[in-house]
Amino acid sequence: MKCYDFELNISAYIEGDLKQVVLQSFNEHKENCTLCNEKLVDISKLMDLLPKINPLVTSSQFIHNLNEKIQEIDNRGPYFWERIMQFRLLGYKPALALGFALAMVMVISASYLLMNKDGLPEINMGKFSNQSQQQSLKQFKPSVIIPKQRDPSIADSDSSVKPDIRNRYDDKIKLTGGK
Amino acid sequence: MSDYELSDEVLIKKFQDGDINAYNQIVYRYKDRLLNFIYRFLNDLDRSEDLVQDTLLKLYTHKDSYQEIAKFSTWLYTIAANLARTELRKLKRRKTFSVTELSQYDREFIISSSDADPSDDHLSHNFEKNVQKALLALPDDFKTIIILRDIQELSYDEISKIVKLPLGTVKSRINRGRVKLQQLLTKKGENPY
Repeated sequence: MKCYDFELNISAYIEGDLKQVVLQSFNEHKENCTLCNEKLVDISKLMDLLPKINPLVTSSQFIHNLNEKIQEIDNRGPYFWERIMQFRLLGYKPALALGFALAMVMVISASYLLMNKDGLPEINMGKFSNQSQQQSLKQFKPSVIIPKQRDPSIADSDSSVKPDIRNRYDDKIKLTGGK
Repeated sequence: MSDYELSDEVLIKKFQDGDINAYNQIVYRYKDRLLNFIYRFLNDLDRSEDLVQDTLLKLYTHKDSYQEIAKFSTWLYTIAANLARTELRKLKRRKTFSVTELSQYDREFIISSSDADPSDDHLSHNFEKNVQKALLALPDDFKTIIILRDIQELSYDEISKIVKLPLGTVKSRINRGRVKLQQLLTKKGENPY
């Protein structure tokens, strides 16, 4: 055993807690190392003396001061949260049950909102879809005039719409083709 | 059976049921023990007494927090240790008290006393002063455990619960703490006794 290991086992040795296997090498080291032996004697002396330190005693005013503080607390009365915690219904404290119920409501609400992606209750939008599309088309007012595609069914008299080049060629082709 | 003969656990149960005499009995049982415990941390008697009162007030206001799964003394010492550590931190921050100064191993406060008999139950005042100074110079982790074990004489199991450390760690820290304490006391080769 080395001095370091000896030091680690000093308390266990003094308290008789050292295992038999270690005890032999501990004793051997103790016999051979004067410094470690001195350390062991000093520590066991210290352990012997520490519990004998004269105990301190509280002052004569201690109980009086404590009672004053207790009275202060009693006069103040419990805080709001303390009242909630101490509230008893039919001999039981409902605070815990109420807290649990509140937590459950929050969990259920959160899961409901998560299941509906939009955060709204599920509504059959199918029957509203045509109506809404038409409404959105009416409301759509583009800031740039986009040329309409020429529809053969529309008459050429519609001068407000200029046919684009491709349509013009189409017309020519059509005309040529027509001839 | 009178309150004097009842166990701590029975007394706290009675107090939880509204018996104020049981509380008074607990106060009488623990006030000095707690003072001795806290004083070793703070080295200030008035402040230590205030903290003992705070501990007993916490017992008064939080009596329902105690459940009979642990020993009552363990629970009460845990409250006291937490308060003492918090107070010590505050003191360190305020720098009204410097541990670093104490840990310079300045031996001016350790005066050897050749006529003191270590076997005597009434220890020399010097020895007590020296031990107190050396304890204050110990790191907090060692200090708490050494005070609980060697001064308050609690079991390893109780200490393990109070400091919330495994039994093995407590045992090794106690050993290291004792070695450190001894080194502090015997620095410069003087006899601290």
